Amino acid sequence: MQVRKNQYLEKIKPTAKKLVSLLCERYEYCSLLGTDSESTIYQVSSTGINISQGGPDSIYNKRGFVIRIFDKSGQAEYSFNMLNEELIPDIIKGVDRAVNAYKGKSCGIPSDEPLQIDKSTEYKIDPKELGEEKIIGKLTELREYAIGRNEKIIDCNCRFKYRKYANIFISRNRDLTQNIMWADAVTSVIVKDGENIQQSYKGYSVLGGAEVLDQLEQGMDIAIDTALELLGSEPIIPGEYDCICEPEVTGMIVHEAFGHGVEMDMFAKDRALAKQYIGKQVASPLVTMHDSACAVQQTATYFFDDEGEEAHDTLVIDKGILKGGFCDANSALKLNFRPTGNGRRESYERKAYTRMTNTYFLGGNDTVEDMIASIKYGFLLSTPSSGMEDPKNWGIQMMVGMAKEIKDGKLTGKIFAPIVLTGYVPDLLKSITMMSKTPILCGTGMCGKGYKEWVTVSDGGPYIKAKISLG
Amino acid sequence: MIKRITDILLSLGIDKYLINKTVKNSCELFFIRKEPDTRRIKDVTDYSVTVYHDLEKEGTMLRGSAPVSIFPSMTDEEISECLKKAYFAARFAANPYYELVKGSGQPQADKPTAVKSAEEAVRRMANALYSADNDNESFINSAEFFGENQHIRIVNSEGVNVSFDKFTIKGEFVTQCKTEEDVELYYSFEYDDINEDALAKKAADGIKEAKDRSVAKRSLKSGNYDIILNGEELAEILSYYTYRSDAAYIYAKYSDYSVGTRIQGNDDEITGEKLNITCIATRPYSSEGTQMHDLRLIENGVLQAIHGYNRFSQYLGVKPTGGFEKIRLDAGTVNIDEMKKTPYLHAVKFSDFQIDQFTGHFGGEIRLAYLYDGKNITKVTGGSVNGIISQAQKNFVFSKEKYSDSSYEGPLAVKIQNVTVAGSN
Repeated sequence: MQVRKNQYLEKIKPTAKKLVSLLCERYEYCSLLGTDSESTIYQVSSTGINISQGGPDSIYNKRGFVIRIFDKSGQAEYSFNMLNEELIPDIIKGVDRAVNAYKGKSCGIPSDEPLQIDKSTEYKIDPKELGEEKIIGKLTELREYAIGRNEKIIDCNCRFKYRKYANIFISRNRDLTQNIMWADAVTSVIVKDGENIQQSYKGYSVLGGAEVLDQLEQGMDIAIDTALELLGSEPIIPGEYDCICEPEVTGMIVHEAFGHGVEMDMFAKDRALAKQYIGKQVASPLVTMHDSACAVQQTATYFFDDEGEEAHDTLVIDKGILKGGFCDANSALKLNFRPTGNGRRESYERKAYTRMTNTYFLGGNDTVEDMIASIKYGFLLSTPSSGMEDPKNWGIQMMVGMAKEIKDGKLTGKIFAPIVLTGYVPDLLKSITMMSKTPILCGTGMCGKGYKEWVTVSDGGPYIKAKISLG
Repeated sequence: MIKRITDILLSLGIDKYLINKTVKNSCELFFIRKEPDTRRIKDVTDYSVTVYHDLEKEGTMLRGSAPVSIFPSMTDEEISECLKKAYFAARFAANPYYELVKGSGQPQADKPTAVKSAEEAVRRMANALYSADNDNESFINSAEFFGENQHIRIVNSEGVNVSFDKFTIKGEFVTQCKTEEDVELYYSFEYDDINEDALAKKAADGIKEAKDRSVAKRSLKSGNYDIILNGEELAEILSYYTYRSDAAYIYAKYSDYSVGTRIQGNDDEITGEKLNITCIATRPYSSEGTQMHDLRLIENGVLQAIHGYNRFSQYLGVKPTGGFEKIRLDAGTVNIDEMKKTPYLHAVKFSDFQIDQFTGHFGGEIRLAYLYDGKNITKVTGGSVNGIISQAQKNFVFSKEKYSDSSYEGPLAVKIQNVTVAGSN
């Protein structure tokens, strides 16, 4: 089924076009991005049942507009959330206020080649049609299953979320419309043994709707077993080890360690080491990396970005050689580069930055069994928890939930936690010697630029074998 | 708009509700080096309505709730449809019954009272930041400024009808130095009023630290160190206690804190200083309409109160306090100079420093630290701190010198003995 067209944006489009047309008489370049979105979060935990269709701090439920101007003094934007014929003079005053807030220098005018898009994504099960009763019922059933499995489980938080959003983008030569729905489902299991309290997490996501709930059901035992295993964990002796990363950990390496470093607004600010490595080897020849809002179907899939650029499939690393990064429109002007459809905003209220979409390593030729068997002493790393980018110096700062010990090619059952991954990104990527066949992507997380500007992304890859410093 | 919403609620027979209105007027400036890159103005009004649905199950009263976003561009029909759906959904989010916050029924003025010029605020703060940018080798790489006036109104069906204004100026900047290694460091700031002196000092410190980071060596060896952490990282460590004393955490049994709990352990186990923490009210009312006051949370290492929002506080039988965004830790007993008389690892910048609220593990990757071995001070980078609060809290030593930001007031530094550090090589 296709996501239906957004009625509000369809209705307001003629007024939006009139506004853009008037502003085009005053400024060299003007565009308008309109957004209307709805989302619902369903959650069952020991604190109760929650159904949220927004709220004071919701970034998923938004309806509003942002006007973007380029003129001799650079880029200016005005964000607002009321639009009708009568308000057009006030909105133009708001745009003028933004232009006059501070004067800069022009770095050019974005390309406005003619483009028309009117597309919608597909879904299998509409969460609205499935209904609150069935969704809460399913989450409650899964939670009760978890709680009943072991007395040390003090809570199991089951959450399902979907977001349906629509954008219109209007400029002098572009008229774009998209309607998109994605969904994710997550379980978090909390276990306690005396003073020892541990938590595990397992999540799934789809470009689609409530069909993701089936995946959550299949992954419940993994989350429960992981949490219980963590109760018996011990601190690791810091050092460099042969490691196998599960696809979610690979995804975190792809995203945090490397992906942020090829966001080209960082090139424009001289904040990315990667700029000096274009055409050079940065990873093992086994590694090929893409960022794409159109080549895979995940939570960051779209038809055009928040600057009206069509979605691209960017080849970032080809057989270990860095081919290039991805770019928003403003940074592209500064770098004399082409925008790659990666200009994304947290919402219409925020500035666009270069952002990742669905970012991943392609698969290799190995089996997971062969990879584990190849290790004399090392670890299988799973359940990524957090990471921080370092585009300037390519330092690694990531945390994973657990390291499972491997001795003489076999998992011993011994668990170490918590685990901090450190080191230098190219060292890690060049040390990759084995990769499993099928990449797996997951998009349950939000990605920030520093500590803000949250956007939905997905990342992943295959199992990889590499030398990694653990602490 | 609030009248429109309440009229529609009543026409639908929904007599228990909470409405939050937020008006945001902001100005934002973005710089690359000293050149303005983007400027933005925002004029936005948001509404959130929480509807409550009471029902009885097997003789027990339950109350379900569902918040929903209402946009000012919605027609009455759209608003009605949204509220109807939310009310229906609330049936399936039924939880043990609790009362809504009660108000006086006396409405306050719904107009902003002390609006500052967001444009002037960001311009002045930008000038302050760049006033410190005078070094040829180490400099401000880029900066972002967000000045925002918020007017917040809270109305509920039980007579709460209050409003207040809030101004914030916040942002971030990156310092860069190319003296030896080309490096950068990240800083954020947030103030509730224009504070040019504080930002200029932060920028000057950041420029110096980038210079130090540029010549720092990856020579830190794995081992246990007496570490000194600054106020920002100390605030993150202390967040463990505010999470553990939150009514929602206690109700969920994630925490076994109760009033009187000796959170640092028994007196004979504590070799360092005892904690004295106060939660600071940074807004007059919580989002539910609870009037907020400062709250003494921990006195001499003993928990004095449980804090939290209305529902979970009622479940635990404690007074709802609203959600706090700032804490104050009483000043320590030792000057920083005294702390530094014995060997230490003073980690001043991390890539990210976090504490796990469940396990109490804290740490992060070191971007810049000063290592004193008893004879020499070495600038080091790389490696990571990996501590655990159950051990660290026995030997906290806090500085007399103070630091403050939007979420923390208290000692500028803490020294913690015998913390595990993974080396950089």
